[in-house]
Amino acid sequence: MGGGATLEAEARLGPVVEVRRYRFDNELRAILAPDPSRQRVAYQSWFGFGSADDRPGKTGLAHLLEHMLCIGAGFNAATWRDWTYYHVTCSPRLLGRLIERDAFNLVALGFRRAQVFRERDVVVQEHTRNQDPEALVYNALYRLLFGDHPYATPTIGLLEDIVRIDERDLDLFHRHFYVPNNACLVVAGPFDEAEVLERIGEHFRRARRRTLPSQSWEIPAPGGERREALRRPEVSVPRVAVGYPAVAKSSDDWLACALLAEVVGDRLHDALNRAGSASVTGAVAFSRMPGLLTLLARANRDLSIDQVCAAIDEVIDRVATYGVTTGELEGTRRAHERRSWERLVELDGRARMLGEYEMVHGDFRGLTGDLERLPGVDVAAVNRLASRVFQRPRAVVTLEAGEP
Amino acid sequence: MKDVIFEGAREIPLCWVSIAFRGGWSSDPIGLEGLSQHAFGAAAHTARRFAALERLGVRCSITSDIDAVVLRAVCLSRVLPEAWPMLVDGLASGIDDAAHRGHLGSLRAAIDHARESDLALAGRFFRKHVCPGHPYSRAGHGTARSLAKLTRELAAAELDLTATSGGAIAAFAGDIFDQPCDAMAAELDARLRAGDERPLADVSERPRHGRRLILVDKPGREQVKIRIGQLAVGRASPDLAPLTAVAQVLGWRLADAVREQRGWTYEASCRLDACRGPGRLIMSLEPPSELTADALVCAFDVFKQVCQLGVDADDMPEYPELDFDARPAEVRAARRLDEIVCDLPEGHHRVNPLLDCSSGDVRAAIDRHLRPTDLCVVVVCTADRVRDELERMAGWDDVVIEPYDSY
Repeated sequence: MGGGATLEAEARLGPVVEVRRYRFDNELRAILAPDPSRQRVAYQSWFGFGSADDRPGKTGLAHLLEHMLCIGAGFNAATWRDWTYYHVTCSPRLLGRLIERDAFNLVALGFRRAQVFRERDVVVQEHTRNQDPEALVYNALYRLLFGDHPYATPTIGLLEDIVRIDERDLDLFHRHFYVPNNACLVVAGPFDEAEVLERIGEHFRRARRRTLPSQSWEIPAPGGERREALRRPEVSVPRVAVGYPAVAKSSDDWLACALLAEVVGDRLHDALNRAGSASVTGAVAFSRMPGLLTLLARANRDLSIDQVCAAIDEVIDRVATYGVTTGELEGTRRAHERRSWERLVELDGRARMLGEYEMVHGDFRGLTGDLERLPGVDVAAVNRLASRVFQRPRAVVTLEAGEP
Repeated sequence: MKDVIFEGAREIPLCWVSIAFRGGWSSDPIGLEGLSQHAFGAAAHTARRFAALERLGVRCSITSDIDAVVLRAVCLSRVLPEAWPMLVDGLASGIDDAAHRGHLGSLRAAIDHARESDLALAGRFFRKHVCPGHPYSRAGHGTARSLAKLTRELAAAELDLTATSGGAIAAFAGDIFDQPCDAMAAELDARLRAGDERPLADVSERPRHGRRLILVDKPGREQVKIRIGQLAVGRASPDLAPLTAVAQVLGWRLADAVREQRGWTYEASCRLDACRGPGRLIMSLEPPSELTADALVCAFDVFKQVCQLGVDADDMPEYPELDFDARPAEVRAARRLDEIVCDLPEGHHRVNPLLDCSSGDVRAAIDRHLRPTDLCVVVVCTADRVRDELERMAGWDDVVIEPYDSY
């Protein structure tokens, strides 16, 4: 194909959309999902690093660097533990210009100190903005169970580290991680595949492959249940969060684990709502290394923390002992499938899912694989997993009104 | 039925269904704010219908929006035949007492939640103050006082008034080729109470109240939430497109001045609401408390500059938010539904009016609608920390202070 790219993998999303992954000589990947029925194009560049690549004392680097590279670029962006991505949806006629602009992110940059300091201030304000109750309990769960592991730190970093980042830190981090062999471009919408490959090859060929810093992290084995009680004056109703060590996205058990989390979340939601309105979310981390299965409950004025904790324990004990039912699993399977298609229907969501699977699962075809495997995940598999996961030492975080 | 819309697409095995009734929270009676949200929410939860739909994997919601109440459902297409009767039941089978009490509880919880979140507080108080007395100033989820007055009988009467066959607009989109949508629409028509569309609130007026500043006083705020704006124009106005361009340019200039040049805020944006009556132009900032006055002065300068000088031809942007083809299905149906709700001619949304919008159109629209002297400013903050500085720097000496839990 064009631009010196080699076709590496292909898959079909639904009855219409075909997806192909190409690799260039410098190991840059491009996932192309042409769709002539659309009028606009989603362009995203994904990088296989995130806050998990920050180092102790230098947390927040991946995220601040993402901010710096967005200034004046016309892209939006996001950073998570395992990835950083830049995204834009626009007219196809702008695609060539976007590719050219995006390629700058892979060449050596010089960050100006004054600009770094201003953007650092912006991130400090973002940090303050993010201190909502749900984020507080969620971050505490990871802090309790992950010890020195980088998943213990919020993606945005620790405030005391953020305010010390300077342009040299950013330059170094950029040199290490913004390399073509750590990147994948995703394009979805109406475009000529050969022409796009030609453009990518032309603009990204100057980017040289480099060896990535070696990373090896052990997830600490928790000795027993860990608890933390948080208080904040502005909290109006209690929150309780429970986290169990779960599995990585690439694990064969991930899909069953995701369904299990949703069933348990739904059951807990029903249990708490017998006593009034409360909301519960059950989810499992979509992460490269094993993350957590989390249950986050927001109570109401009539429910105390003890009542919520008791309801959580009762639901988990019942699921671990008696398992989930076929009916529950069927409803959750349908909801999971519906959500996947809902994300795929929008061009931006489609490109994002392809990029996220490529970076976290290791192959975008994991997406189609999950959709194909979904009907086969049976009650026995989910229940075996439940009895295993819910025996693991967990973390429980509570949050209520009061002075910290 | 007032109208039925079909939009088929085979690309994805999903169906989107919307059933709308004009009215919405702007038609709530004064003193009974939250009534339409409660009536339809309680009906949907009667006999745990929504819970049953969720067990089918259906995502469904029923919301009283500014101009209409809309039931929205998304499901796998193979599930629609099973889900449809439950969706219709949710509109046509009344309200039981358990659902009435439970749903009122969830509306009270929503107020608690809004008081906890500074962002939600900013939105709630800005809506209240940007156009006092106008139907668009009402609290869609009610207030503590109005919710205390809502009875099951009032809710049932509201449902009867609004959920009529003459007022119903149904939209089916997505993979609906093998679905008996005509029969489904007929079933809905037969099950709803026969009757005309309800009377709608008159939202055409655009009151001018002059420049005003409201501090929503909440203890311990290190970062403040600022909303600045005024009412602009409705969906049918030819000035909506030029003012949409203005909102986008204002957002860019605000981000440049306050965020990129000074590093004062993460959030710096501007948007224009589009509704049947005049929508709000809203600028948003979230600086640290000690920079509240500086950030306000800066935002006023940006606004004044755009009002005085207009927008350069070079500034006229490509408008990604007017993405006419983000999805293969559902968007056209949603837009047609929106056209009906807003009394717009069929096809109004098919043309992107911004493509032909010049900087001269923008200049004229600014002159007709935007007034720096008519800006409403709402700041969620700890009042003692910012008041003196605001008076000194920004020249505000008629500040209104409202406790955050007063509304």
